Amino acid sequence: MSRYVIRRLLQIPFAVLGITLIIFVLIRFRGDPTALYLPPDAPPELREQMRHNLGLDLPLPVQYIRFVSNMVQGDFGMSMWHRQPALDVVLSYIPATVQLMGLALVLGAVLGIVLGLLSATNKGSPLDMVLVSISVFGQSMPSFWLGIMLILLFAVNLRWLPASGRGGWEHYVLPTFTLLMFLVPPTLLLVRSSVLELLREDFVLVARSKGLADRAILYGHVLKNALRPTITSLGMQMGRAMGGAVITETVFAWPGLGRLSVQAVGNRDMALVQASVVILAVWVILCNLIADVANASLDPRIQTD
Amino acid sequence: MLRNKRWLMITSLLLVAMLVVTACGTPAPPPPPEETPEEAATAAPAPTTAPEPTEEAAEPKIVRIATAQACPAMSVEVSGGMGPCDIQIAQIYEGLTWHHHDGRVLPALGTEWEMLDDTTWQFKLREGVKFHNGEDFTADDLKYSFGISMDEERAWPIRGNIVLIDEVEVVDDYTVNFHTSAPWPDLPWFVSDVYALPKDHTEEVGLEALITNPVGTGPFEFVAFVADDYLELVANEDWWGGRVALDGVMWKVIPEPATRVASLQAGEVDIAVQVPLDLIPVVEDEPGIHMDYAAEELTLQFFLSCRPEGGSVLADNATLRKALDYAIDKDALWQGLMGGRGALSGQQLSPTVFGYNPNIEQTPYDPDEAKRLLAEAGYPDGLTLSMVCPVGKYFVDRDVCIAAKDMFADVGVEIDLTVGEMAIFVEYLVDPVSDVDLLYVGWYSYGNPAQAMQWFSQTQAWSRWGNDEYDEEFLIAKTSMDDDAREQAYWRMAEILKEETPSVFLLQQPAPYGISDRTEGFVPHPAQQIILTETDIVE
Repeated sequence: MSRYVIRRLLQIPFAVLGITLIIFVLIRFRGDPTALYLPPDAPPELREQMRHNLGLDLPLPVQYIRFVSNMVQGDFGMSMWHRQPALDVVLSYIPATVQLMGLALVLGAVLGIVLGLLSATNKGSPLDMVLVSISVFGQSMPSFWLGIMLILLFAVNLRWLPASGRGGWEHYVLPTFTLLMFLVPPTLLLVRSSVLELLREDFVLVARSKGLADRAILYGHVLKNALRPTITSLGMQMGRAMGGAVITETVFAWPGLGRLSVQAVGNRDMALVQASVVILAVWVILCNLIADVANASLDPRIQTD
Repeated sequence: MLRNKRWLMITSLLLVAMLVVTACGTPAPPPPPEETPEEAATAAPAPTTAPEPTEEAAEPKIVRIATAQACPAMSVEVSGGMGPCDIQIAQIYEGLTWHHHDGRVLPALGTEWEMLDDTTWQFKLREGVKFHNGEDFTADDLKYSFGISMDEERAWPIRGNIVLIDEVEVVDDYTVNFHTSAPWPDLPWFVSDVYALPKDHTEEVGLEALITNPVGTGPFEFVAFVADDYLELVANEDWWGGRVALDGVMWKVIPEPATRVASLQAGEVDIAVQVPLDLIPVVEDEPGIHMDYAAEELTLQFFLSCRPEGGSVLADNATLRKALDYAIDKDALWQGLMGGRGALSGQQLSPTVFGYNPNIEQTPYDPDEAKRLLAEAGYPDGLTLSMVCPVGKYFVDRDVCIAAKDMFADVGVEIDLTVGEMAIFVEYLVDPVSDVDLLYVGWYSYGNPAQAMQWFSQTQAWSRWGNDEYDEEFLIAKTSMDDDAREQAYWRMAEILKEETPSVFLLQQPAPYGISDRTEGFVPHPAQQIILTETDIVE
C-alpha cells in the first residue's frame, strides 16, 4: 500500500510539469499584456522597458525554462496587477476560499451521501421524490440566477441575511446554500442509483438468506460498495467545485481563489495565472490521489503493488 | 405511468413555487419592522429603532461605497494607469492639483502656479501640510515623488503622462520649477495624479511598505485593506482643507451589478457605482435610495481606419465615411440604450469641456442620404466592413454595436462584427494599421481637450487618420499660451473632423450611480472620480 502511495506521489511532479507547459503556452496566446497596463499614449520605449522588466523580450523556450526553474524554488514571479509576488497573492486568497469551499465541500459530501442513502432506502416514497426533484432542479439551475434570487428574497425583501461580502456566520448562509445546490445533486443521485443497483445484486440475496438484518446488509455491505464510485466522483468534483465557486464568489462578492484566477486571465497577469493554476492543479491532483487511496483501501481488488 | 405523473406534478409544483418566490423578489416594500428584539438585532440598519441620541456619542458617519472592480493593491504605482485603483488612492494621496467636477483644475498641494517661460512652470507649495505620519510636506518630498514616477527603469504607467518633464528643480522649501522639453500649457492638469510621498519615511521603510501601509496627505487616512474585499479609511483630523464631515469611508468590492444594487436596496451600501440600465427603474422605485448621473466626458464613436497602409476601403474615401455617419441613428441609441442620459454632442469634445464647438451639429439620421452617398462613393450595392467592439468596457457597449450593425445593414453595409473582452479589444486598438474598418471606442477628455483630440493627430501612435492642417491646429491648441487662440484651434479641429469624418461620433455615456437618501453632497464626477470631501451622512 505504501509503495502504491509513493508511486502515485512520484507522478505528481510530472503531472504538474505538463500543466505548466499547457498554461504557459495558453496564456501567451492571449498576447502582450503591457498594453493593458500602460496609459494609451505611453511612449513605445516605456512599453519596451516594461516588457524587459517582465522578461517578455526573451525567446519563449528561455522564458519557459526560467519559469519552471524559478517555480521549483517557489518563485512564480511578480503579479503585474497586484504588484506582489504571485504566490503570495494566491496564498493570501486561500483562507477565504477554504472557509467557504471547505464548508460547502464537506457539507456537500455528507449531505449527498446521507440524502442519497435516504432516497434509495425510501425509493418511491414522497421523500425520495422531493429529494430527486430538488436534485434535478438544483443541477439544472444556473448558480448565478439562484444566488441573485436568494439575495433578493433574504437580503432585500426579508432582510434576514446580508446581501454580500465576507463576515460573520450569517455571511456564509446564502453562498453555502448556493454551492450546495450545485454540489449535492451529483453525489446524491450517484449514491442513490449505486445503492439501488447493489440491492439487486446476488450477494445481497445471499446475505439476506443468511438471515442478516437489513441494517447490517445496508451499512456493512451495500454502502461500502456504493462508496467506491462516490469517492471517485467526489475526488473529481473538487476541480469542478472550483469552477462553480467562480460564479458564487462573483455573485456574493466573496474574495476567493476562483474569482482571482478568472480576473488574472482577464488582466493578462501571466505570473498570477500560472501560480493559481499550478496551486489549483496540485489541489485537484491531491484530492484525486486521496480518493484513489481511499478506494484502494476499501477494495482489495485494486492493484496496489 | 402513475409514478411519472406524480413526478411531473411535484417538479412543476416546485417550479411554480420558485417562480412565486422570484415574482415577490422584486420591489415588494420591505416588511414593516416588527419590534421583536431578535429581529432588530439581525436586520440591517433598521431605521425605525430610534437611536437614543442623548446618551452616547452619535454613530460614526461612514459612507459605504460599492465598487465594481477590485483594486489589487494600494500602490501609488498604479496611478495614471487604466486600473480601478485611482479613485481609492486619491482619497489618501494628493498631487499638486485636483479636478473639480465642473472641469476646473484647482489647487491641492500646489497653491498657485505660473509659467516663467515657454518651458518652465513654477509651483508654490502649500505650507503647513503634514503627512499622515506627522512628517512635514516640503519641496523635497515632491521632487522625490516625481523622481520615482519619472524613473525610466521602473517604467511606471504614470511616466507616460509626464514624459515631457525633463527636470524638477527645488527653488526653496515651498517653491518648485518644472522644466519641460516643449511648451506645455496643460502641465497643471497632468500633475494631479503624481502623488506626494513622504521622502524620509519612504526611504526608511521602502516603497513596498507603503503599499501595505499608505501614508499620504489626503483627506482620509488608511486603516485596512484586503484585496478584492474592502478598503477602510478614517478622516484625517489635520487635513489642510479642514476636517471633512464624514468620519470614515468603507469601500466594498461587489463585482456583480445585481448584487451591488441589492446591497443598496438592503441598506448595506450608500453609493453603488455603475448601476446597469435594466436595474435603474428598480433603484428609482425603491424608497430610501435614488439615482444620480454624470455625463461622462468620454465620447463613444466608431473610429474609422483611415491609414493608407491599413488597406481599408475607408482610407481614401471620405464620401463613404460620411455615408456611415448618416446611417446611424444616434438619438435612437441614446434614448433606447442609455435612457436619454449622458449627452449627445456629435463631436469629439463633450459640451462641458473647453474647446467644445457649439456650431457643430450632430449629423442627422438619414438612410436615404446614406444610400445616395454610398452610391456616390462607388458602392451602389453596398459593401461589407469589419468592426471590433469591446464588451464590459463601456456602458451597454455590446448592445450599441449590435444595434448599429442593424442600422448599417439597413443602408446596405454588412458588418462583420467581432465582440471581445478588454484584453482582446486592446490588441486591435494598439494596432492602427490592423485590417479592422470600424472600432467602437470611447475617447475621454476628462476635462482636458488635448487628451481627447490627440487620437486624430499623426503624432499619436494609435491614430488611424492623418491631416496636416489638423496637426497644425493641434500644435497651437497644445502649446499656445493664449486661451482664445487655443479655443479657435479646437473649433477649427472639430470642423475638420466634421468635414473629413475619420470617426462616427455618437454620444457621451452616462455614469449612473445609485445613492442612499442619507448620503448628501455627493456629486457624480464626469471623470469617474469619487470625491468625498463635501459628502455627509444625514440620518
